[in-house]
Amino acid sequence: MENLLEVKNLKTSFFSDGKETPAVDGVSFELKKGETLGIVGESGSGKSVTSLSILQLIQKPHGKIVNGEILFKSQNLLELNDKQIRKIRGKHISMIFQEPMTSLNPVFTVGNQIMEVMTLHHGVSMREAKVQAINMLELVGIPSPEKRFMQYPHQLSGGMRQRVMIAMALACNPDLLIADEPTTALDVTIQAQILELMKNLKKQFDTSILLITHDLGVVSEAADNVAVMYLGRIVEYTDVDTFFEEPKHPYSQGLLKSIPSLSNRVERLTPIQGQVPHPSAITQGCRFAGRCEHVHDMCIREEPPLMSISQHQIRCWMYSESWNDRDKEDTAHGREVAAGRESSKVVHH
Amino acid sequence: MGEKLLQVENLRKWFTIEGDTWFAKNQSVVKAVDDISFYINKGETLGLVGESGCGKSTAGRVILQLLEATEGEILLEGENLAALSTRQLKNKRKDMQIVFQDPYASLNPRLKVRKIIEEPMTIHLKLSKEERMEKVKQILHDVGLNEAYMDRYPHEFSGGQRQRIGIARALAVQPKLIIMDEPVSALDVSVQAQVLNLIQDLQAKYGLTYLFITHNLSVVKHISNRIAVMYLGRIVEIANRDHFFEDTKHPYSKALISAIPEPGSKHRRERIILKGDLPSPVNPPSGCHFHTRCPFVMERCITEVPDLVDVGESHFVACHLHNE
Repeated sequence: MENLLEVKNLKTSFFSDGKETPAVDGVSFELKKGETLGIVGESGSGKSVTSLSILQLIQKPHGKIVNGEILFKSQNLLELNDKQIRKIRGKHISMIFQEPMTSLNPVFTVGNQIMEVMTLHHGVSMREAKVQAINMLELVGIPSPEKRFMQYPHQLSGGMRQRVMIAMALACNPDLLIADEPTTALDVTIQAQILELMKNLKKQFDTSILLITHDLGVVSEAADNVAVMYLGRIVEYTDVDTFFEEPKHPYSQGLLKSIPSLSNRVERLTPIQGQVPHPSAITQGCRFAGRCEHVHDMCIREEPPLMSISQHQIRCWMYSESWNDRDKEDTAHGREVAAGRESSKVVHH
Repeated sequence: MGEKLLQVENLRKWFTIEGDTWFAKNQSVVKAVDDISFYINKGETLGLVGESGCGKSTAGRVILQLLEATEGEILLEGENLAALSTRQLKNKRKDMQIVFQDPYASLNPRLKVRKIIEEPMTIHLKLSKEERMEKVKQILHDVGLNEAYMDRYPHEFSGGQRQRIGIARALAVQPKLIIMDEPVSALDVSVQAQVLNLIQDLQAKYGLTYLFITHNLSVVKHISNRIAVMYLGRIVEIANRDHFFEDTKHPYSKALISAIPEPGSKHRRERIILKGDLPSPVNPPSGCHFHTRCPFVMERCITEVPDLVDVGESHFVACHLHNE
């Protein structure tokens, strides 16, 4: 099947005081029609910047897409001018943000905001737009939609607002929905409702979803494929079943081990040591080396490429042939170097 | 264990709020905490779980006497906190400390770490300056921070490190009870595990007792000996951890557990999707507060408030289904 979205070698950087800090560095992935790709990572991994780059919502002039291609239906979005990209936003690609309070306009009614998208992109009359907007509210499971249509965002609960965001995002029946932490600000019972809703909508409209989250549970629930990001790089990329059955990258393994599980209680969690360094502190070598338990000299010398192994794409030397021929003694040395480097990185924000 | 450190009896905290309109002075009451009772044994962790607005944080604050209770008693080692004079209460405060959710907002940005940790000691402990510094160093070591960080300011630290400073501050006066109010919710997953381990280590080392307030059931399962679930100001279920998860009684607890997406669980448990939102605590539903969302609602639930009753082995549940 043809790819709906293809991101190739994307690099987005932020500039301050003449210094370049890459937030996303050489990221490539693809998304087919009706498919959900989960991008997982902790803060600073570049997952949100990736999604903002697709719609070119990066704050200028500090942020800039330095390199890469974003092919949407085989058309490179980065070659479009402002007017052309505005036609794509909201109509073909729309976005749901994490914080449902701040992403709705407080001085317009909910109905008004949904209608705006429709009149803007489809040129329908106000009357027609109102009928459609009320339909959308009903579709996303808002009770008494006629009443809600007239209300302002502050009159709605968090879950309700997120539904409005979803209604707005789906108003033009987009091909691609970017959901950036759509349930993070919500309570678990409401999160369950929203995930269920997204699943149903996907079934109904065959929408492709790019799901950005830090929650591996949500990914497992909602995604078909997973890309794990760490410090601006994709470190592991595979389908969701393979990922949870056999996570390969030490970072993915570490993440899975550090979450307390409901079904499988352990006396003590196994955390990943250290913390995510600031992107400005990136040095040569594997970006995870400073926190990795398997670190070897070669990890510090050179960054591994994204390698393909059966179902997986992995950025780790452990899965290369040279790993077997490595000098075992260098492991200890590698750990020291990495640790030293790590401690010099910490605490400079 | 077995000895009760903290007892909370019929605790109520109601807030009065002014009405919506400018002219009419109609007051309404938010029953943030509405008649809750529980106890915590020495050295144990009680996990208090619930969604936003259920009153779990308010409960924590009332217990610490940061808010005045509307009704009810709070006994710390058998002593009623409300009956104490201001001076006696100040003395008692050193026995109970709190760690807040937001490590960015809960540390004074103008104070160096040494000052942040030293301050409670200056107030509560009669120590010389040198002794205090010695103690600050030791506590920093306890929470896994380098003592060289002592002269830095909070903004120089990451979220996880700040939360360690918050824990260090709570430890400074050797409290008996620490209220952990969502201590790991603001942290990245990989860091969250480090802090959870630290919290457990400190408990083992100093025999601390925790009231662990969170919305995260997986975390609560990991860290608690007993679990209490709150819904709209009331406790709906309390049980030992294992009883609670193996034999969940209250429909709300069941829904909460089933709502959590588990990474990689192939056979997904049957999910109970609750309808609707959490009702407003200003006008909570009559009878059992949960009846508007409960899949098993009966006529009785609409009119009659269920009592929290023991269904065996100290498993308490407030539900008419389990209360013949």
